[in-house]
Amino acid sequence: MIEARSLTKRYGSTAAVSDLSFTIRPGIVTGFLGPNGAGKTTTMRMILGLDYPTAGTVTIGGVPYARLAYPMREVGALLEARAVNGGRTARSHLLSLAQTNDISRRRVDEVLGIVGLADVAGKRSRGFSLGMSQRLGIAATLLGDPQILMFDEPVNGLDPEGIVWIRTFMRSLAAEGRTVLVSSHLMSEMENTADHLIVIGRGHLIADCSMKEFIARSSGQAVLVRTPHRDVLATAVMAAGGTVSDSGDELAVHGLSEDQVADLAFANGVRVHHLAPTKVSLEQAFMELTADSVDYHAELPASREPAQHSTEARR
Amino acid sequence: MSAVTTQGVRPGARTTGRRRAGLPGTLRSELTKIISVRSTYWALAVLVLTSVVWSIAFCAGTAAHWAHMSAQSRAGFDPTQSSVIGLVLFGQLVIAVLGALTITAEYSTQAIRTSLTVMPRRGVVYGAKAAVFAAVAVAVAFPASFLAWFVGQRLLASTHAEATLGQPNVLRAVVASAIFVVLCGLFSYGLGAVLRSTAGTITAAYGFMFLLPQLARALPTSWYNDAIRWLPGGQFDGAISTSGPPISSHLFSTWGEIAVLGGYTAVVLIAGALLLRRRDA
Repeated sequence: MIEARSLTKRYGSTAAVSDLSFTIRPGIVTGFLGPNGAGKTTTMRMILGLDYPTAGTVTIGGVPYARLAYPMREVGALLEARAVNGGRTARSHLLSLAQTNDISRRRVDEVLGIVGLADVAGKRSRGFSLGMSQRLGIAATLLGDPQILMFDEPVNGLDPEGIVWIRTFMRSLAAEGRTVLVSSHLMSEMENTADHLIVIGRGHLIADCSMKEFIARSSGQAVLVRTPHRDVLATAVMAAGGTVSDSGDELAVHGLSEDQVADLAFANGVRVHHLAPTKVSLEQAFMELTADSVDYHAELPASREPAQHSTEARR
Repeated sequence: MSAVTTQGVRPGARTTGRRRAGLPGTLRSELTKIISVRSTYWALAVLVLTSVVWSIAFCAGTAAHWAHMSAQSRAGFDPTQSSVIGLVLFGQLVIAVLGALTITAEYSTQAIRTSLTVMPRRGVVYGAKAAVFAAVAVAVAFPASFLAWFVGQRLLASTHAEATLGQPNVLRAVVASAIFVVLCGLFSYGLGAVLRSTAGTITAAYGFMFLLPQLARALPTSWYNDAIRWLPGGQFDGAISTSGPPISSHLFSTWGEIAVLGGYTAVVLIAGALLLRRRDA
């Protein structure tokens, strides 16, 4: 359980994190989302006592991180997989970490086995691929068999196999009842991994809800209908409280479920050739919610974005 | 609410008693770190080698020319100083790099964040690093100093001008040279904690120990004579002289100069500790 209360971090006059409050619960994977520069890493550093908050507090099971008796036995954190001295072997690196918390040598070999690095335990980590470095970083988080695990952008730069491995691994950690916090800016990845989301933009909390709720909030959620009687159905939808927009040769209905739309069509004698709910991806929902809080915008070709999104973003 | 906040912390993991991660484990960890990278061995090997090679070159050269030397230069020859000066001059360069790297290498790789995450009591990390580095420096600098001295005296045997440890000031000079090197390393370590960059720290350390005494020569002579004894490493070669008057009579005694450098080292070490605790990692 990680609890942040009114967490704030200012650098001079710029606020990296503003008045952030959240609770991260055990037993699920919590995704920590935000565009680059949103304050994810700063927040994680404050959780770990590396950066001092300008205001507010953050605690681990009710205690500030720096006061934990054996930090590694309670929290395992991976901020940057490449942040190791490449001249040291995997085993020496892990041993040096284990020793600070009175963790045995045997456990070092155990975690090397868990992450599949037993064969290269005696190799200097300089020659490791990014995937191997990532595994080494994860091995370090497991040394103390902690109940809370934090990973900052763990799938960055990994190949598909590595991504699947990390995803499966994080889910199994959560299934064991542990608290798992994963930050990412890769939405498609989060969609497959996280149960709960904490979304921040420019240091502010944008959403703290389940993945389902987050996607449902998106205005992109629609029912697409292909029908020769577009106008009739559109009128009926609007009368029923929904809204419509054009989506190519189909009519996009917002605010009504597919059942409601099908019933409306039937009631109005509208022939329907095709009716399907759009699956809004987390990515779309995220873009919409954070449109105002992205620091660096690039112009997107208009055709790449669904019509109502671009109007929304420009508003 | 209290039941909720303690959730996620296993019984026994948080202890109320004395048991918690502390200095002994962190000392072991820092020892593992320093002995598990090659750069340590390289640096220390270079330290010992340059000291001994200098001693060989200087003492063997003097022995070869002894027959042609004037009585005056024979009298002015200091066999002890000549054999350990290599350790003092080159040793401080090497040890300054090693001392800096002990902490700045963690900043350049960002591994410092991991170190301070697994041991959030920063003073413990800082102290353990300093202690382990100092122990390694002592373990190498003292043998290097004695080795260089013995080799030098052996080569001077033909001149019958060689020194023995029983002669006045000889043991003092050999020991002081080793202490000087250790202090230079700790000075650089503290500077590394302040500056957090390898290049910056080494430049600054060389500037303080090497360049400052040279720049001071630009001062009017009377000012220079008043100032030199206060500079870190300023004319330390004078402080380890055993025969005749020191090169500069404006120095404190050997131990006085060690104390001056020790004072600067303490100041820098304390500054490093305070900044490490205060700044974001």
